[in-house]
Amino acid sequence: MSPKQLLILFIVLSYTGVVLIYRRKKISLLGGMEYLLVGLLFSLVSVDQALLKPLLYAFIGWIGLLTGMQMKVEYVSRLDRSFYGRVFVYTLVFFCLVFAFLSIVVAPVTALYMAIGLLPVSYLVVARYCKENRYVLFFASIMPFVAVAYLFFVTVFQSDGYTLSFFFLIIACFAIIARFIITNIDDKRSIELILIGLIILISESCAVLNCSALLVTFAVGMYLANFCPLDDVVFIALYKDEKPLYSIFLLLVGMLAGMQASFTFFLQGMAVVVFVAGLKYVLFKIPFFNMPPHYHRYMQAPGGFAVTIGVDSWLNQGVGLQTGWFSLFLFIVLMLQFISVFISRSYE
Amino acid sequence: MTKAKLFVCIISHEKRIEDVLEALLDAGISRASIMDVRGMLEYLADEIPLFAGFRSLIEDNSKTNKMIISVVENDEQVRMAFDVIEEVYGSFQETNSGIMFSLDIADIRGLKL
Repeated sequence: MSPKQLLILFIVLSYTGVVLIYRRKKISLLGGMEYLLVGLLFSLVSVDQALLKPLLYAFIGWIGLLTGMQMKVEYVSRLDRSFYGRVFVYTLVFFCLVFAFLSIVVAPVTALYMAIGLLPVSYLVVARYCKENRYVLFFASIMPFVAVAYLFFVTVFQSDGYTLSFFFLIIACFAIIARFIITNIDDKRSIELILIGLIILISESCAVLNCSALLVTFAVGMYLANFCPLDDVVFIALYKDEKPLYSIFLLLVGMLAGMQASFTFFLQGMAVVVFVAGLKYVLFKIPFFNMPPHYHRYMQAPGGFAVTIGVDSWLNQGVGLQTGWFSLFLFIVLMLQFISVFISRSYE
Repeated sequence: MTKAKLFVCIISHEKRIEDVLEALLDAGISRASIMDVRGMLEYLADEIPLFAGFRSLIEDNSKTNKMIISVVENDEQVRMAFDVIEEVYGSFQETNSGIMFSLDIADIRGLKL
């Protein structure tokens, strides 16, 4: 099968499946991870995967831009300081635990930390989207930004002065270029084409320059949200096909990552899953965090952003397509998702 | 084509609706219909967001929009309505404040102007 045929198949699968999986207010408990599983099955198909890998950068760029576009000062300032204080303390616990346990911050640890530490309520958001429970929803919705902040911190920590300066220079250049282009288009209906071009330009440039497409596009999104007069138009254009695009992304990730079939691999994955469960059990016992003390919520499923962070870390490593740690990471994500569904069904 | 116009005003600050209606009364427009409408982003927010949870929640905090429609006699009355509404409500040039426009009416039944 050629890459082009595969891509067409992915698009068809995504747009047809989206009705079943992302039904309004009845989203699948797996939150779209079904596509990851299907993608893993596609890894058995013989296709030139190297031709499809650059697409991942574009998807990461899209997610980064969409997430960054929400960081408007006007929105952020509506939440009070005690809320941010609680978020900070909650994430700091995981942060310290990871550093104490593993003393070295590398890309796999970063990605795993994001998946199992910072997005524990994503299951709540996905499975029980209830606008009455706004505190929890806001808490969950803030987590991706905390994850990005942590990823940024890791990047700064691991970079020398020159690399860091270059990184900021890239962000500044792309932010200004993006704003200039968007503000000066004559036909607002062509905003989607413009955005596709911008996302490809920025993310593929990041791929060549070996820097995080997620962080750069996030920063560009933040700049556009606060300084571009057409930020609402841009956001709507980015958000419009969120679920189909996310589904195609998961299909690609699953296919390019693949899965190792070995007992050692399985044991390693299960060890992490059991560790996560224990950690979250302890966390939910601490009243300060104000999490509902229902047992099935201990097994929180990572969300789509966890996969995004993982992919970004994996791409930045610049290694071969089927890397052991990333397959393990996806295995853990899927296991947590399945276990969450199983346990929640037992308690409903 | 009649000289009558369909005056349409959508405001996003629903608490100001009474001020706007009083202003229309002062302008001589005593017949109008008011509807609850939702903006596109708010409608999209009904979908469970994957990556846009924060913004959809924040914007959900802000209310339903109000749409006022009224058949007015002529262009002059439309302009008067625009002016009095802007006096009490504020400029519509600000982002997310609202929109006002008028449409020509080809034919009309059930109303004597």
